Amino acid sequence: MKFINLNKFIDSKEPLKLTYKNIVVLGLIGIITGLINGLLGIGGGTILIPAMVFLLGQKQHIAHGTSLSIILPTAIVSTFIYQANSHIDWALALKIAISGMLGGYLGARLMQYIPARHLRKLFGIFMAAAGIRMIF
Amino acid sequence: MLIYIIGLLMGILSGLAMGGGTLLVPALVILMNIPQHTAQGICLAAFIPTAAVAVITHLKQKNIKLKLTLYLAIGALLGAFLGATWANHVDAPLLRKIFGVFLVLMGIYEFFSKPTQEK
Repeated sequence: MKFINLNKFIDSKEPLKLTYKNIVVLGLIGIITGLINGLLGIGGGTILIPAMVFLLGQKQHIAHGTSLSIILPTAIVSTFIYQANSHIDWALALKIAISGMLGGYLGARLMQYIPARHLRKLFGIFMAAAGIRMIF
Repeated sequence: MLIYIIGLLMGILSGLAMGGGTLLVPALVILMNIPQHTAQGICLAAFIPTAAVAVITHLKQKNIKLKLTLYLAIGALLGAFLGATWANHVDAPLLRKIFGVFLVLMGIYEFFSKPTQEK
C-alpha cells in the first residue's frame, strides 16, 4: 500500500506532476520531519525512512541514503537557531561527534554479528522507560 | 569520560541502524544533568559531521535520489525553522515532557516494528 507512486518521475528526467495530492503528501512528510528535527533535536529519520518506504514506495537503502541528504541541511538550519539562542555546548558536541563516529564505525562492523531483532525489542523497552522517566 | 562513553554507545546504536540519536538526548539529560535545550542542541550539532560523511558515502553508492531530496527538503527546512523556533520558546520542563512522550511512542514502534529484509 502506498499513497503516491513517484518512481516514474524520480527515475526519469520527467518533471514532477505538481498535483494537489503530490504537494500535500511530500509537503506534509517534509514538514513533520523538519518539526521533529527542530523541536526535539533528533534526526527525524525515524519518521522519514518509514514514510519513504511505505508511502512513497522507495527501497530501504534508497530511503536511508535520501533521508540523510534531507536531514543534513535540516539539522544545519535547526543548529543555527539553537546557536542563536545559545543552546549549544560546542565542546561537548565535539566530544560526542568524535566518539560517536568511532562508535558508528564499530556498530556498522558489528552489524552482522548482532541479533538485531532481539536487540531492537530491548532497545524499544529502553526508549519507552527513558521516555516515562522524562515525562514524570 | 562519561561523555565519550555515551558518544561511543550512541554511535554504535546508530551504526546498527537503531537510531542512537534518539537516546542521546535522554542520556545527556538523565545521566549528565544537561539542560533539555542544550542536550537537543548538542545532538543536532554532533549529528552534522557524521551525517555529512554518510551523505558523501551514500552519494558515491548512488543511494540518494536527488529529486526526492529536493521536494522533501523544502518542507523539512520550513519545519525545522518552525520547530526549532518553537522549541526555544518552550520552557525546559515542558520540552522535556514533550520529548518524553515522543520517546515512549518511538519505543513502542521500535518494539513492534519488524526488521527490514533488505539491508
